[in-house]
Amino acid sequence: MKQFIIRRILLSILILFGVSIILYALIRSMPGDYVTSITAGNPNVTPETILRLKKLYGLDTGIIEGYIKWLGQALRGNFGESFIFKRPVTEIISSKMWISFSLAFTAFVIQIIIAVPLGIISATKQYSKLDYFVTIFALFGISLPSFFFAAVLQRIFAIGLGILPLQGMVTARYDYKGFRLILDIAKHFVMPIMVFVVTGIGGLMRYSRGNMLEVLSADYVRTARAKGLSENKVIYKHAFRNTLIPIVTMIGGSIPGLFTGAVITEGIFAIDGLGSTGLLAMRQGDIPFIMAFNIFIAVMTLLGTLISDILYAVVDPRVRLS
Amino acid sequence: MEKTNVEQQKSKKKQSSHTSVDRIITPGQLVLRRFLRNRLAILGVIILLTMTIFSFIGPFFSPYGEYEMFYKEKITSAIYVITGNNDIYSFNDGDGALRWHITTEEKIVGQPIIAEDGNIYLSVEGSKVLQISPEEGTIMETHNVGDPSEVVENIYEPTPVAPDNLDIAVEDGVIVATSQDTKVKKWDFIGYSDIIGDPISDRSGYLYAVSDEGELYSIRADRGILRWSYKVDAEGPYSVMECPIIMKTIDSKAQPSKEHWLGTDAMGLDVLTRLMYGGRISLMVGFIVIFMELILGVLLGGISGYYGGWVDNLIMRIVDVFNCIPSIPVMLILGSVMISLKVPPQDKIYVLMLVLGLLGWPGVARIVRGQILSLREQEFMVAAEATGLRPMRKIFKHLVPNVMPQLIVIATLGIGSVILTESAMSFLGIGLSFPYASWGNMVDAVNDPEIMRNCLNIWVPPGICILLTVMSFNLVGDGLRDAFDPKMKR
Repeated sequence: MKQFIIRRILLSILILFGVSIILYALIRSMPGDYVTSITAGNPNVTPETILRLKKLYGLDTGIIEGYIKWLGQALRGNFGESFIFKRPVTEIISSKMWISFSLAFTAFVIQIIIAVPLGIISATKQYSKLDYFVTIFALFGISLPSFFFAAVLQRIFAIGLGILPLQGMVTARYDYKGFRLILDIAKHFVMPIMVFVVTGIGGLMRYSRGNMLEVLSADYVRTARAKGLSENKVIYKHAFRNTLIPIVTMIGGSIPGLFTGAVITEGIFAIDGLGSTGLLAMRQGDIPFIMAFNIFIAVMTLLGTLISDILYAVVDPRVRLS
Repeated sequence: MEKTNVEQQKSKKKQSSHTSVDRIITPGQLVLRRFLRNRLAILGVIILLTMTIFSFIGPFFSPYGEYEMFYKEKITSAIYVITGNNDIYSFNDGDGALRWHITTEEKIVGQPIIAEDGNIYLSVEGSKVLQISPEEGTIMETHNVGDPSEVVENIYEPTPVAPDNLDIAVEDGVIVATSQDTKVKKWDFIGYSDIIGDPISDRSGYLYAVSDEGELYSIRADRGILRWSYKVDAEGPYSVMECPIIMKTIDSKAQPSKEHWLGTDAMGLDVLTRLMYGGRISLMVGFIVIFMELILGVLLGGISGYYGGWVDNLIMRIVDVFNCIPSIPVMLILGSVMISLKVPPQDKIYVLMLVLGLLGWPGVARIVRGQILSLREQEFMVAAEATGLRPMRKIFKHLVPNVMPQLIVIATLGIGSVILTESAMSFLGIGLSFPYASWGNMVDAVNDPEIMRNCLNIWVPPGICILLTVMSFNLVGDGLRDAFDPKMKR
């Protein structure tokens, strides 16, 4: 186990190395770098100032030299200072990721509460009306474009009925404190969470339904039925526990991804999370932030697969990691 | 002889009865039969066929083009101010914008006349009459007559609309409104200079007055407010005239009508027609990207699974790297790279397709590799080995066809997700840009709050088209998987 984890971590470092090379090359070939965009239209800027600014922002080097410089700093944990926020990138990411996480985590919990039981019940009642409903609803959620659904929700609840705020995180006009502030934020989070839940629930629903179907066709379920156990006992004592193995693995593996934020949904609802900040940084050519943001996403993806592999072995003792 | 004949007949009968009892069914027919039994999948096929016909054949039946702008004729008032410097100013009734301004070479004599068709007839010194067009303010003709009434047949007679039944008059340079002989309003706030001449009113009941300093005022009499004002940069004396004019404006955000079944968008383009062209883009992108993903994925996954060892290791690490690259940020970055390389808007979609294909193949490669790893241990591969085939032939003639069912399912499900990604890119403004239509950039119109509130006909149909198409691809993909592999039934 220990050996497995160490090997995987070493491999991850190699993968991150590849990811960072590709990303750096792409980002540096972006047009309007930051210095050009902040000096544009300013008559007092001389070529010397531009050169000095470029040196200050580390844009005076070629792509290869720049990458080596960036890598040297990044290995020491220094991802540089964001051009637009003028603060260390790691500080921004660590503060914004909790906003994204709280939003995504709430949605994730709601998804699990709805999707897992529904998936399992619909598998036990295959071809029933409920089963068809679950199948179609899951497909509907998967196929729904998040930006369109967000716009529909905004039109209905914010503009049409006027019961929810259109976007943002707090009502700017009021200076709420304590419980009222929490209530205000919760109100702003309702629509983004609805988008996350509806567009994300399908995958989990289908996953738990498929796994339950697979377990129900296993030999030991037939044995349990042959023994004369009641259907309830067969399903909830024998089958259900075994479906939990892949479900727990999937849930565990999804948690790191909750930190990375959702670019489109956060952007539409003006949630000040990591996703919308990343969007802003990418539109303005904030190289240190874009690099760190993308590496952060890559790390979280790798961490997710690692966690789900480890959980798989922890939950199911028959599995040996090698 | 007879006997054999009878026997032959007997055996024939036997044969025919045998075939009718259990007809030979090929595996392909079995799959088709299972697929046809799936009602949801059939529904998906029907929707997809409808969408394909709608977007590829529909445009031939649409009377409009993808970027054909529509105009509507609107009757507005044109306000003219004639000054002592021989200037004529023409103003927009709505916002008081100066439409045109000309100066005649000769001195203007007397009051101009406006004909029913909107042309302005101006008598100038030397007993000439200039005919001026109301749209551009160009001198269209010079008539050699002394009086304009000699050339004008139908003179425009302004029909003064008394706003709110008020009588308007000017007293000591201030406009005063009286109602049944009682003074109700006084517009002495609109300027320090004195109003000269009688204010005129147009068909909507707005008042226009000019002051002795050359200020033109437009007043809303029923509310008692100034709509707009304009200072004419010329010397007096000034006079003001009004005439209705037919203006051509972009027919934007029109509600659904007989001519435009889904109305028009903000730029005055027919929404239904653009929906068809947008569908072409979405479906085309879906198919081409999936095709690229399949080629790359099968090639690399097949090689990786067949050879194993360091080749496998290398390819799988590349797969891992591509798996970790987040697609939306990369697309955003590429969007700005495309701007710097000055990629023309109609070519952007090809770059988008290329990149989506490059980012999407690892999933296919993984599945192909996994399948081939288990397939290559089977007996038929030992047989293939024994015949001494070349490895490439073994991979692509013997192994890959066995992965075909899975590939067809991945491809169908994948088209759906590619269409979703493409529409999200277009929504973020990276994909196809104006004037070309795609479903994603049509939904993008929702960023205008007014469209979101009032023009559901602009942004809801493309969203529903995306939803229906993606959902149908998923339904068909699910149906195909069930049909290919009955053990894994849903």
